[in-house]
Amino acid sequence: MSDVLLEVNDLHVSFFLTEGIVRAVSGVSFQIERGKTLGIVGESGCGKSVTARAILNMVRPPGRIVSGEINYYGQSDTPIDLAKLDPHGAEIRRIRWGEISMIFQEPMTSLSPVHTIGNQMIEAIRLHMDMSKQDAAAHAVGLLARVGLAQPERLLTRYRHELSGGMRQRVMIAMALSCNPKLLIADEPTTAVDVTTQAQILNLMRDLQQEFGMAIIFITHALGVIAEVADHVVVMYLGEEAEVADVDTIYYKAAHPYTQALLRSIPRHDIKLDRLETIEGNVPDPMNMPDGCKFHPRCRHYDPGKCANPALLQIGEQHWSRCARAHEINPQLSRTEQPS
Amino acid sequence: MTTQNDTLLHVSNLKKHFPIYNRGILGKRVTNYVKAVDGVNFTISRGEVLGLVGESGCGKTTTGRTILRAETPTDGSIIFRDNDKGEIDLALLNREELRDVWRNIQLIFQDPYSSLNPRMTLEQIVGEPLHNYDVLKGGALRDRVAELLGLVGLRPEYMSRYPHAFSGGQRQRIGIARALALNPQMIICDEPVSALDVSIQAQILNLLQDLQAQFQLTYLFISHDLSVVRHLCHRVAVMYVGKIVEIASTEELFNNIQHPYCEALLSSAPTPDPRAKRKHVPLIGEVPDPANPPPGCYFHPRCLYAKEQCKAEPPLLREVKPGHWSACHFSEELSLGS
Repeated sequence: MSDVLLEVNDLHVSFFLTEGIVRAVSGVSFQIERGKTLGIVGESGCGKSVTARAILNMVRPPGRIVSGEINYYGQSDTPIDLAKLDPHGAEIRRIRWGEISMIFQEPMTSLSPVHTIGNQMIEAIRLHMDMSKQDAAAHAVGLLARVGLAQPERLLTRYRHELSGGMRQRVMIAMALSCNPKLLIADEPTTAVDVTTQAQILNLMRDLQQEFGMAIIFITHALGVIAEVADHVVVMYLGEEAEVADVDTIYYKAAHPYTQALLRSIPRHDIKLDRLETIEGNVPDPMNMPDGCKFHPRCRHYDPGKCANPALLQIGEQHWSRCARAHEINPQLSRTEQPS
Repeated sequence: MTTQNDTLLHVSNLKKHFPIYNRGILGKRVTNYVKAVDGVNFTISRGEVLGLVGESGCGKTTTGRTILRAETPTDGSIIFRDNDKGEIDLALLNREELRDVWRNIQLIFQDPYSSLNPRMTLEQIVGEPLHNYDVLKGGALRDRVAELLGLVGLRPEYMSRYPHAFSGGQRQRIGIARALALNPQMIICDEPVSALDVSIQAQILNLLQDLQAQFQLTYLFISHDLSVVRHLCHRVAVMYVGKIVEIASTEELFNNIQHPYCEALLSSAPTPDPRAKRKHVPLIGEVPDPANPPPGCYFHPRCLYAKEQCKAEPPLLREVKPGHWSACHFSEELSLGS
């Protein structure tokens, strides 16, 4: 088997609203290797969550996958194209949760309010694995203990409202791991929790990845979190990938003006900055996207003669940038490397 | 902490306890208190930006609301040095007297969507404080609103529009213009950039910084984000379960931590640099319930350095170095954060 677990090719997802068509994802391609972490980073409306849902073929109407391939190399070298599967069919339902599981930003809404934690976990486990109720319960207890929850047996009889935010997210992680997934999609899993809880959960996910060997797609808007967890990074802007590279390249040799500007605009707790650089203007209205390069109205390197319709350019061995001037603009020196 | 001449606000032993009721057949009985703010002391000088930082439930927002007297304090004093009236204790004022004080203390909210009335135009929203206090009328009011919109980077032509026409960042600018309308002496900023996207956050932080420098404003800046606090604040106070555990000037605090909780908090904050060496100081367990805090130091059950003394004796906030206060029995003996 090759190292590639999942390959997204030219994915397009649109939402067909009465007001018009919103092209939430327009031509995104990336791949993820077995056992690695891919970070997808971007601001609200950039299409990062829609991309994640599309992988599981879970885009809700009025949205749907318009075109593109999502090749999943689960069992063998012949891939399954998840985009072509019937969203309600048996095959995709086996893969969801059984092989690819997902955790969401708000664990409150992903747990049922009227079922105990135990009932929910046991049901999910028995749907995908051939286990008796007792075995499934024992499996659930083991998982809850593994994610660092105290008194896992008692937890099985609890409801979601009896748990704190951090505990709920741990329960979600335990559930997501219950069928030994090959890929875990984590959509802003730590955005709703405090920074100390976030550190605990990130540590836990790192440990679990080493133990279970699953690949992780980690979606967030927080550049600090991406730097800590990701091996490779996709920076998204308005439904396209602006830049794709390994994590070190993104932070030290960014070659897209959007990535560069994002990195310079965040305040830091580790170094003293005098002034933040800003990205002027706002994220454009999705109904009314700019022509040509989508970042051009906010870009300080914009050149009308050159920036007509940038393709994703390969500029390094593992480094792509959707900027026509990627070779001209200087790779950003990281702040830590800048002479003070 | 002595009250000096340039002190604008002096909060001492501030407490806000919320009663927990038990409704039984004998009626409503108070069974316990949530000690949201439990003996907080600090001062803010004129023209200073003080950051109040902590995790959710630590009491930072309640502290801000109690200073504004949106909540009535359970105990303590809030001495505000008014330009005209001299020293006044906000804790003792009645509603009428508070109205006068509120001219001088304004608030910027976290959520730019729910904090603006959707049925009011920008002119009405930004002009409302001026109208309420009968400062300006008619054309003069409109001119002042235009000037305020210009200050926060909005076009005066927008004056007749409604909030729905604006993005989150622009709405936050509207909220800032409203807070500035009466030339307040102090502005309480409650998580003003937490709801904004990364690229917009920088714009608003720069605006707050520029306005502070331009008008010598005094901010009490409430936030959970250590990066934002380091960037904007002159001094920082860290809260944990209703108490301040450490307070110092920003660079001193970030370079020379004296309290184990602050060490854990800072080491938990993710660093946007993949080459940064991670030195996570893991925090075990959860924040205690402010209705039933542990005895002794509230942090001792989670503290890596806790000793017998910490389990029995609550530590006082004391000056461990000039200008650097810490509420830990062992600040001098520990070498933290290195």
